[in-house]
Amino acid sequence: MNEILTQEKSIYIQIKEMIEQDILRDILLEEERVPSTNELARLYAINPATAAKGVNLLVDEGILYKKRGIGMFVAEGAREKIRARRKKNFYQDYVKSLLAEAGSLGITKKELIEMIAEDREYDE
Amino acid sequence: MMSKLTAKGISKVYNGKEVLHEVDLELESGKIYGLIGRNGAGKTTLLSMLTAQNPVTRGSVTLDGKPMWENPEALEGVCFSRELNPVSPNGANTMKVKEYLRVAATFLPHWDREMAQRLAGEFGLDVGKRISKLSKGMMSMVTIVVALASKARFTFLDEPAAGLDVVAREKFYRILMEEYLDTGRTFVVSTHIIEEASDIFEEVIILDKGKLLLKENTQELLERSYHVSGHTEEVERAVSGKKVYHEETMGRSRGVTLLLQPGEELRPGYDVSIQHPSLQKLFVALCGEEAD
Amino acid sequence: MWKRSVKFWGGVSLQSLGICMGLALVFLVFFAGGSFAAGGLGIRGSVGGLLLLYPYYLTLMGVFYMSLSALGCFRSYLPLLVSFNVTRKQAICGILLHHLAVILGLVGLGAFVWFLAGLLGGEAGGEMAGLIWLMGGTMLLVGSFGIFLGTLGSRWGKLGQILGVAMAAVMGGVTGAGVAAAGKEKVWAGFNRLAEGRFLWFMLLGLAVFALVSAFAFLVNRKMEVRN
Repeated sequence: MNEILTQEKSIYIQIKEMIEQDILRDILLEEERVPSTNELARLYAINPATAAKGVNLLVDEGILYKKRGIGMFVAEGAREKIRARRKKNFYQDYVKSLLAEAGSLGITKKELIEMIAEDREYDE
Repeated sequence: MMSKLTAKGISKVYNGKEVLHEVDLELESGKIYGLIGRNGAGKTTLLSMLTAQNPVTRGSVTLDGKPMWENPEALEGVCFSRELNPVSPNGANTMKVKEYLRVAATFLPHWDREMAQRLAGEFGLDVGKRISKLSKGMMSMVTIVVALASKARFTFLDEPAAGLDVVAREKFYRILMEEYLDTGRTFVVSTHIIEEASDIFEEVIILDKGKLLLKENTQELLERSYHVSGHTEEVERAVSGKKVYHEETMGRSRGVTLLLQPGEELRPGYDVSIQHPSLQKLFVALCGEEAD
Repeated sequence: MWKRSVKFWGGVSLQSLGICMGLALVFLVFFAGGSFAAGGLGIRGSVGGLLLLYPYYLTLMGVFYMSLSALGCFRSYLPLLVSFNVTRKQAICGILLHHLAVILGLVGLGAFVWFLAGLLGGEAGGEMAGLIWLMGGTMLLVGSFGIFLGTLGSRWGKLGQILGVAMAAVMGGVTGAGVAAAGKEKVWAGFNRLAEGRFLWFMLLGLAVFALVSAFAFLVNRKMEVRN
């Protein structure tokens, strides 16, 4: 939470990703209550319908669930679900564009792999 | 309790000039609508037609099926808080703020006196001052106080943010959102300052030269608008066959803005950058000079 | 929602009545007070004289007010009220009834003052009553003209405004000059002569003209536009 909204992506997707990020960072724990759409609307000065759209996506993916009359809660196993989904999309979201950029610069696959192998900071 | 304000085929002619042409609009209760358009596009005229404060030349406006024109029952459901300005011929200018608010309290059936006082305090309004002597920002605040304290089911604000500095504007959006969250009232807000307000509008209504250009859920509209840029040839191939609203060319580089129909897609595989323009950039692309 | 209009216009009417009464009193003291103080009629006589004259000043103020107010009502109150969701019919009704209320108030007050002064009893009383009708009728006629101009001003703007102000100046000037030139006694005598005719018909004429002008006001303003 409390990140700034950008122009780059649809607002409701940003809301969705922010909640996911908070779940991954243990800011929101499993079985804990998530801010309501009204609270999100207040916090980000956005229309609650937009906030609801983002939240509903998470409900559809099984990351949040609704307790009638109380609110939205983080589902059990949400963290793993998010990780798994992001892992699956990793190629699409990051590798593809990495390869495209490398390609336009004339960096070969071999050079790329060397770059990765030589990196000292990545925690294996 | 669903309520609908319906405008069918609204046209308005002033001095032989048609300022609104065949506008069809349906406003549902419980939403915040943004009305955006250039100066002279007809925003104020449309708002005054929708609230039956001025007569239509053609067409009809109804609230839940009841005609609005000179109908006290239907009029109770709406409030049009007009822009105040020092040279308008209405009686408001010679009045003091508190007298103006007292007239509002007398005639607006759901007036919330406590809220009016609280908001006036929050905005730092000097209620003893004459309206004509107020700064533009303070005049906007009077407009806002009337609109919010009216507690009308359908509330229309004409350029409420004009004249407010950025801090006051943020305050206004916050207060508007709070009221919306508390009561679910319908708000229709016309504005020039598109970018700030785009986040709070559930639906956006774009008026261009008296015609309704589009009325759509803001997020959905933004999702189907694209800005494609790159080498002119690549861009042309990527968007071939599609209607393009705005073109910028510099040397071999070109950027175009386009709106895709639901289900339509850009041709993949071209070396172009694809971005979503902001609502403001989209609006300029749709309604700027080149779009004629 | 009529209740709301009554609340609003009631306030305006009371305010207007108060102003007319107050100004009439000031004029009374200013113009007539001196001659009484010097005239040696004694307190009782002076008071009686003042009470006799007050209704005339009330009428004078009433005429002033009637010629000026309608224009202001149509140009500022009408669009103001419409911008707060009052229908044009109701708003115009309010303006018209407001004028009637002020006339009624002034005429009633005048009659009451003369009643207090004991001027309404006996045969002379009949003549005084006639004068009351004359005053009422005069205000109605002037008010009708004011409303006519107000309607024109509402529909055709500045032109109506200019005419209205000019008219008020003329009316005021003529009345004032007439009174000054003729001298008090002549004016009283003139009125008394006229009063022999019992002016009920004059009042009814005033009402009829007022009704006509009201219809005109409704008709012309049926589609009145609120301009920003």
